Amino acid sequence: MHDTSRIDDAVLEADQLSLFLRAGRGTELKIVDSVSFSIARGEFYALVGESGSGKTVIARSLMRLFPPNTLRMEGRLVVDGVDLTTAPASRVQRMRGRSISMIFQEPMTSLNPLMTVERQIDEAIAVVGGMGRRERRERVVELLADVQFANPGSVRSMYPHELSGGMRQRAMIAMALANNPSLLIADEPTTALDVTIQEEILQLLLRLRDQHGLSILFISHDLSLVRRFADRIGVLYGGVLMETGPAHELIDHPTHPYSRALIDCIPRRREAGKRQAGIDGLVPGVADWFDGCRFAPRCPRMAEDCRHGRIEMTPTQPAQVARCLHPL
Amino acid sequence: MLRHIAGRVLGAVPVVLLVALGIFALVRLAPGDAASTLAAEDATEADLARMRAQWGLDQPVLVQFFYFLTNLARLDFGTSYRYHAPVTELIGQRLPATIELAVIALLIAAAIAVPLGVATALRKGSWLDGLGSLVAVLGVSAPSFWIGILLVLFVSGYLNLLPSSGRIPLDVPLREMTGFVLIDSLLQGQVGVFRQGLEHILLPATTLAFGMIGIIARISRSAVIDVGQEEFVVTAVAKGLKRREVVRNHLLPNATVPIITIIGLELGTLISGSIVVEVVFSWPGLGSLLYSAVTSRDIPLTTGIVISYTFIFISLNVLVDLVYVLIDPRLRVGRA
Repeated sequence: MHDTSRIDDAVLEADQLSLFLRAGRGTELKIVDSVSFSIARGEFYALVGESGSGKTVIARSLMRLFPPNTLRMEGRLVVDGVDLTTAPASRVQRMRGRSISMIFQEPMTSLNPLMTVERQIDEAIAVVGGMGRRERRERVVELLADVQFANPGSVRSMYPHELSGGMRQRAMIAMALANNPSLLIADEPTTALDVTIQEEILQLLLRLRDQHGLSILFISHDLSLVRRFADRIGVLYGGVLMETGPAHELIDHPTHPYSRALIDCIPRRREAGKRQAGIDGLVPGVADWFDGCRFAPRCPRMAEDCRHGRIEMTPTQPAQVARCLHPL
Repeated sequence: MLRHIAGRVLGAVPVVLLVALGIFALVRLAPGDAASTLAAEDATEADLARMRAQWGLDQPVLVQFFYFLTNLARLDFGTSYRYHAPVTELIGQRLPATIELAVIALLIAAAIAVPLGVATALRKGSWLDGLGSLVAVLGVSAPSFWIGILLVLFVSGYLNLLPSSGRIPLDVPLREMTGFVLIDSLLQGQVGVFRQGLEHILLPATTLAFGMIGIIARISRSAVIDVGQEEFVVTAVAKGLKRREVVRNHLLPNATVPIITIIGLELGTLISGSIVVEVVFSWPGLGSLLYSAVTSRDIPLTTGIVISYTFIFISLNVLVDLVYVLIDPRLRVGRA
């Protein structure tokens, strides 16, 4: 319980959340270790990490999209007052699409190719029930207009293959918003899109957050992208949350050497003769957990004590916490 | 849409031509010709020459092939040596029995195999999945004549439950309308005859279905498993749909294309592959007609039946292609 940035009005609260991949024959692979963070109502929280850092697994575990025989959860993961690590499957199913919604990285493959946009959105609305056909039809048009389709009346009868990538992602967002969820999980929703479309989608998400008081968990590998939009940022590395805090402070004064290294990697206008910064070495695989700090082998500030024991989250700035013995 | 259909139909023409060429060549390659087969024992060389001239067999091969094709285009396969009746008429009499048998076999097979395939896919690795594999292997590897004989011995012989041969008892009066016993009997309100027809068709149809169940079940299983890995299925779950709804609205519709394909292809092989089963159960269909045509070296009849099989097979393929278009909006070319 060292997360000083905990808020009372939390929509999501992950507390010492660990995830284990069941590899069969009783063996388990820890892929996420003791991650703690929380998201307030109306907050845009970005979870940033390289590939293999565990960010997508965390996102999907929030909806328990893994069958229980493949993933085991430990710790606490509370959304809207329900602990997802222990809630029965039927409870979780009733939260999907109502309390929590999700949009995905590939808008090309995340819509059903055989169903019109209208039918797919309608299905999401009907999950709650209580609305007549005509009412739902009006709601579909309203949702499509909400995600800024200029002609919702004609878009609704289209099939996914008739839409561009950006349009499909907006249709996905419309579907995700169908039942006014409190939390929207966006798993790299702009990675597969053009830069201009990326901007458009992000602006749309921000507007929807302001309009509906939506909380957003935005998963990304791109720190330069999220720093312009996020309220708070969490930095993941090798299945461990290294640092979390308000976006501006974390970007301006990172206290974990890994955050520092990531920020140094953001491309700027090139100064003549200077090489773009990178981080030497590789992200440790989930199969080899070692003692001490996960970043130690690549860390410029590594000291002897970094190699031993368990390193806890400690406050490093008034609103920042980091998992580091020798913070910046 | 119309252009798509026209394209599919035109695309089938070269296939028909190729098959026609193959049959023509095979008949010419077989030792002896029609004249020597049909001529009386004491026919002289001069008699044979006269017969060949009369039937155009003395013409160059290319000219003969041209005649063959023009007759084919008019659906005229000549007169059967054995039955002394037009081949087209003989085929027309027998075809309904074969279609009826194949369709009932397909219904039996699909009714068992598709649910089995879907269920084994949804419970991959369970005991049900293991049982499904066993059924599939048995169905594919057991020869149909063996299954047929076993069924005759057990169900007809030992249990005395179902008749083992024919379509309906010979003494049953049934006016022929469509040629399909099951349809004709219903049209004429003869429920008893319908029941008898059903009893007669059950054993041969089950025998035919046996081999298909394995293939259809396996294809259905892998189709459902493939679709299950698609991202839109995750979307459907994330929407909050119940598992049942995800399966019904997202998994199954997307798995239908490969399933329809295999069913269409299997129906083709059923119709052409029912020869053995028809002989075992004395089913008066095209297969048993082909059997007697081949054993009596009835060249026009053999040719006619083989060409008919080709037509049926190709039409079914075209039909399956058209069904795709109905299922998958991405294939509807020219949609604005």
